[in-house]
Amino acid sequence: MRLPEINLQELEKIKRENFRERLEFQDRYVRWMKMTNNATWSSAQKAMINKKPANSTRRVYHNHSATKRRSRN
Amino acid sequence: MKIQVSKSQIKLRKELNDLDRFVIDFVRILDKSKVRYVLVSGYVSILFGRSRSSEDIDIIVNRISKNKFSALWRELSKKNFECLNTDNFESAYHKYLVDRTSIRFSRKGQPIPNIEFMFPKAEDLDNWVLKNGKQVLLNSQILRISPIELQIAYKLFLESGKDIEDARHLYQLFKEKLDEKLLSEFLLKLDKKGMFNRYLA
Repeated sequence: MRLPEINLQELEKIKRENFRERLEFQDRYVRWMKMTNNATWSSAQKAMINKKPANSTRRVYHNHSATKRRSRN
Repeated sequence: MKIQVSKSQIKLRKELNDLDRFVIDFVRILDKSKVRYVLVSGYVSILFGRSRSSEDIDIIVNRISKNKFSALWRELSKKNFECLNTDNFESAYHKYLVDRTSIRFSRKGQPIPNIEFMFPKAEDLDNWVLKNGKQVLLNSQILRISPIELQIAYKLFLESGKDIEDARHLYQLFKEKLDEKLLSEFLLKLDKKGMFNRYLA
């Protein structure tokens, strides 16, 4: 399989640009927050944060951690 | 956005999300157990509206005796919290906390989100934070957080993209209300004046 050419300088530039764009977005977001009532921005934040992990993931972790705990005590 | 900032307190009313409720449930137990704490790091930005979530909430707790920790441990267990590191409170106290290692508490059977619970590690700094923590009146609940000025400087010190974004969020939100001298002193102490000028100013 032929792997792609990777131009590290180009990737670094893209990474910097993405980060700059993230910071710009943040400034826009804070400006919006400041102009918006608390109920509106906090409701949007709540919708984003209240995403639950799948139950199956919880069960797998719990079984795993129970084993780990027994071994550390 | 309506937020009231005074020297002693920040007042904020918001629709609580699951992370806020998780933190409130935990600190109510700390308050009931008379354990002094301060919330630090990412959750401080999230509390004030940052558009991200977090798997863990960092809390620095005043170093307490084993007896007091034992009572807190029982209370946490009664209120459906469990320690993810160990089931044994003696181990949690001696092998972790006294040894300056954090332990994590989550709701039983649900590993995230979790509270990263620690005694002061960087003693002088962490004890200063415990002493100078700022009170936040969130709806009707009081929370104690690290001063915003230190949070901004410390987030720049951590340097990851997420941390710089957290610092920028707090700075943009509070810049008219910050103690500039305090911020400047922390930037100097943490050697982050350059980062501040590059990313925040």
